[in-house]
Amino acid sequence: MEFLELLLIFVALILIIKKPEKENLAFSLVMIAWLMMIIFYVGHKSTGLLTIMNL
Amino acid sequence: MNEINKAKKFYTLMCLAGFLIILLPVGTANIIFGYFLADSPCVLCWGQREAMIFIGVMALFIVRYGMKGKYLAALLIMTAAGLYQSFAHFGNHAMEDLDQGFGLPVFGIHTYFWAEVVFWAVVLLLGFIFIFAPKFSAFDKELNGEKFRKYTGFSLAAVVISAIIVASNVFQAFVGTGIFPYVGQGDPVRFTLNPKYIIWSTDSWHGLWQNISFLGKRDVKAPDYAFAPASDKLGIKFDNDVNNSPFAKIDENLKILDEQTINFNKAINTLDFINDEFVASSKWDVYFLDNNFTTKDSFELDPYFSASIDPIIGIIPYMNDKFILMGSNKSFLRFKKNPNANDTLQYADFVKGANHFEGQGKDLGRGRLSTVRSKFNHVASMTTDDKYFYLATVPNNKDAKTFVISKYSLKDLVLSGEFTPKADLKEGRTLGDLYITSMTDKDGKIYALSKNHNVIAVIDPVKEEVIKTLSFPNTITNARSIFFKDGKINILSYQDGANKLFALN
Repeated sequence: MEFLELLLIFVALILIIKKPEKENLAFSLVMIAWLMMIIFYVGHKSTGLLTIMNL
Repeated sequence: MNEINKAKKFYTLMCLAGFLIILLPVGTANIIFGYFLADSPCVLCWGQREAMIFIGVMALFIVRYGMKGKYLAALLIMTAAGLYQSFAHFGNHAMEDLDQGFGLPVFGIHTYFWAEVVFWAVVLLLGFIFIFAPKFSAFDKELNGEKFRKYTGFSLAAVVISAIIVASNVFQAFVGTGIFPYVGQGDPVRFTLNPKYIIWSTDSWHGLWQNISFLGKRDVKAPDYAFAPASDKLGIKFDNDVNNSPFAKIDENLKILDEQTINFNKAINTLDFINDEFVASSKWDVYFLDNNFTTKDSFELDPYFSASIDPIIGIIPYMNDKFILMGSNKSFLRFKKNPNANDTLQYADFVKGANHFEGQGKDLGRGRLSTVRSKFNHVASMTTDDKYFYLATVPNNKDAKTFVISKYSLKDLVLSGEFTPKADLKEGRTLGDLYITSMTDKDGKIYALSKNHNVIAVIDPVKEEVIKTLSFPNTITNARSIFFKDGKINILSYQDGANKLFALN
């Protein structure tokens, strides 16, 4: 997963350097990668979203 | 300054910020920690590292395509998410002892807390950068109708180096976590290129988005009190049948010798006989009663002053002329009677009774007790043998098995020991099947009263063992307190809307 997410970011960076006219594609790749990361991350913490600290 | 020039300087600062967040925390973690120190990020560390990359990349989007609302929105949302991510990670390690942690510390701080620092720094730096922002119309003018901005030497170098660092992370992620569906690991082994030791795993997919809870282990419902039954919330079905108790055998069956209804207008949760008077409590009210249960003196605790005290679960004598009252959250107040108390000084502790009770002064005041084995359990009972005092846990909606007695020295009020008593139990049962609402000490033995299954466990705190079991009749349906008076066991039960006191033998 992390490999795929980072690969999408890397492709987006290449696009903004070499093919800047592909702005929407580059932004979409970043957002897809971010959504994958955050859905996985929060899902991973779902049994204790606020951690086990005294709050 | 010319607004166009201000816009250019703004973009330079934005480029520098985006570049630095990728170069410093991400680059250091990837190259120095990863390749030189062989550190492998865990699944949560990967998420935070990626969050930093996302923030840096969004800044580079702004540099390339101009200041657009969607990029600023993404930057702020990603930073907010990053703050949550690092909190969610270090929160699970925050209760550990000195120098315990996960992975490499830098200047004594572990990487998951450095992430918190980095995300706050993003907020701070973004604020500073916007101090130098031009009028928003200048951003359009600076773009001059183009779809994207041309790179300067600096900005091109920044984005290229950033891309190289991201590429290096792609490589490290490939080696350390693998390709889809493999995913980062909770406890990754050190980084290596030797295939023999490389682990690709799907374990972190397990449990994803299951059992959603904000408080997690701490989502424990309040105990069952006389004034607030909690059977449904706790998921515990109380019964009065001793045959359902977890004990393999019952040594003695107590009989009721006397029964009286106490004329009292509140549900008494704790009752004891201390220094020839009854001491009762109901939630945050404490009453001193004569032998006819007429109130001689009383106070109402302010539960939220200083160390907050959940409803009172026990009161014991302390240092001859004082008392300790305990909340179910293991926070306490040491107090004493004083008919001439200064109500201005005592106002803090008492909503009522500040002019004849003291909670402020020498050897008085509030505090919190710690446990090791029962951090996520309430207590519902307390007793003392004059050297130590003891607390017993009650089961709850998250944990139906744990039963721990915690022992505290009366000298320093610090944990001196913890144990789960040995007991002769039926197969598959635990002492968590009990619901100990009260304990009392007699001749160095603890009599622990369980309202569930109408049973009393006599515990030897030295041997840490249940040495005897007693049953009491099922006509007592909601046993709340146990104490000895005139050599007999007394049990208070709040049932049918009345406080009933039973003497048994």
